[in-house]
Amino acid sequence: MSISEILRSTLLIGPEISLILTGIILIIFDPLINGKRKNELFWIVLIGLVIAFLLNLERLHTEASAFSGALSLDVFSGYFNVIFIISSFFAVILSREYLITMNLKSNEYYALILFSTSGMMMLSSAKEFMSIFLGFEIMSISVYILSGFNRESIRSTEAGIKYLILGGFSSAILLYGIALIYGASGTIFLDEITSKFDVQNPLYLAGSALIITGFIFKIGAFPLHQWVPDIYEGAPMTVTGFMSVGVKAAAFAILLRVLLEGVYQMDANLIYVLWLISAFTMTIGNLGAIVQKSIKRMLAYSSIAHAGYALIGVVATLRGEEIGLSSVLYYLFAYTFMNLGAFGVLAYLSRDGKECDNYEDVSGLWSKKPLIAIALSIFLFSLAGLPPTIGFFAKYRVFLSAIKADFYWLAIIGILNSVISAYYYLRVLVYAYMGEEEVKFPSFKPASAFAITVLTIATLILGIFPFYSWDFALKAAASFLPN
Amino acid sequence: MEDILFYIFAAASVAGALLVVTHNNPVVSVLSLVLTLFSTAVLFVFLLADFIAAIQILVYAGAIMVLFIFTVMYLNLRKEALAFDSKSVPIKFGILFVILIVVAYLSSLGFKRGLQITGEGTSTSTNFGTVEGVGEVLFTKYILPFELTSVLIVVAIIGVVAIAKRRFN
Repeated sequence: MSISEILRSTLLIGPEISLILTGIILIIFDPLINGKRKNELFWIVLIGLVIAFLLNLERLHTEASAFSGALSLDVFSGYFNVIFIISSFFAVILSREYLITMNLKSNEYYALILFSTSGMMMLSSAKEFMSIFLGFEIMSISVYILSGFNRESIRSTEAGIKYLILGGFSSAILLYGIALIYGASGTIFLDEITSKFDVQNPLYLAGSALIITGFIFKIGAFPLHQWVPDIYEGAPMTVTGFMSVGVKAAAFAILLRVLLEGVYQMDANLIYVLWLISAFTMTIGNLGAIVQKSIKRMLAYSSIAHAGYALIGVVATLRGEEIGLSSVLYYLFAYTFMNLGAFGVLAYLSRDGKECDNYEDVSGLWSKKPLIAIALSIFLFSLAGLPPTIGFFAKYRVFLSAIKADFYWLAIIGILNSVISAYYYLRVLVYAYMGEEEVKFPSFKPASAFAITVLTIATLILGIFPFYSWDFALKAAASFLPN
Repeated sequence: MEDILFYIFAAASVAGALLVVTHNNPVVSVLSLVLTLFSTAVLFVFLLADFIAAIQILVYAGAIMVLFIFTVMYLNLRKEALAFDSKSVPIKFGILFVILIVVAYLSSLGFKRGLQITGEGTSTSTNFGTVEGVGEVLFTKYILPFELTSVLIVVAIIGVVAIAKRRFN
């Protein structure tokens, strides 16, 4: 690869580079600015994210390959980058006042969010296992640190350490799988692996299985879901919101890439394995969510369930149903708005270093903060999949793809699960609208209020007029599946 | 001969890694890590990756381990501070160890079979494993992973600072 090729490739990864540079600028300027003005570096973060978003627009209608095939900068990666940038943009805005409330340092926090996002963006485009692994680790290690960011809270520290150890274990499994595949094929580029793939060779099968296991862990799907509730509950609220949408979407992006472009010949039974994983993930997530006393933990279980719904689309895609892929993409897009919104409301209601955690903490919200109560209800309606929100349309598409692929039982299990889920989402609203306990709510927080407003409007508008964003998902899916 | 040496050093590497996580005394853990890294370096030599083996010993087994040992001794950890239910640990690790060996054995069978089927290993050029060879692929074909590694290290450093920094009010 010549120097001009390297330069050309570097110019193509503008979005990633702009986020990394913004992160480094934050770290350099943080010690130079003193006192309260440190918080104003927040604006640089937003500018960096906007620049990344604008540079990423280029990727939505072109297709390019960079670094001798290590990166595939296609519409698929552009689509996922939009999800990552949106989730980190709103996570940053929501964090501004949350960090002050919880008395946390802001600039390292923002830098880690930016680095994590750049790792996710690498994952969405990488087609070579070393870059995949490094992107995976950049994303994960930033999030491990963010989970344990609140050093004064035992829960947060515990979450950080737990996530580090369990995540390290899953990374080791992933790396083992990569090593086996490399041993068998002598290459780490997905294209070459696909052409050399040999179903008779146990090395490929063991390797692919281990790699998929590593991704399943990050998605938080059954049987590797046990870490999710503890870590989501312990981590700071905005971090939980960020990782429940960003990290999950990135893990889905790379799972789809490796499944569909790398090891799709693996085994005909793989589809049934994923079928079972999807069904169990939905059911266990929902059953777990019912019995929770903490809203945050309930949302953690619900995020397990949502991973299960999205996996329905993956199963349909493997059956060759093109609408399956676009429905997964759309589901992750929709989930970003509604879940980040729900966590955003909880972050808004946190005050004086104490998180809004239990059901009692939202008691009487409607009488004191009616607008926030309305926003919360829209997010929860959307998570439950009630029309006219974006969540309804996303779930409808996922179930439709299962039916088109002749997986009737999977669709039925999914629909039953969504009915169950309505119970625990609406239970929050019962407390918010009818609770009579005296709870003090924080005063107005402009930045968080702005983010929540935008997310609410997006959840509603995209639910009422879904077709523009749905076309976008279709386009991304079509670029990925050329046939 | 080479086979026997390979098994000896592979076993030493795994045994060292197990001692790192199971031993109660942190100094012993750190020294076991040296054993692991050194044995891995020997395995690199078998793969004709001389340069990587030398770097492994110089940087990891040498420089970084010295820092580790300094830190552990500086912290002056007592045994009680690290005591955990050590009775069940050998059994759990034993089970895990047996499973891993079975997987490794099965995959080594597959590896041999894979080589028979394709009839080729990884091709080696004349400067394979030398400084030139490593440098050339590192700065051309694998420049992206190389740069991503530096981002990963920056993240780790920021993380250490963010977590370890004491708050001065």
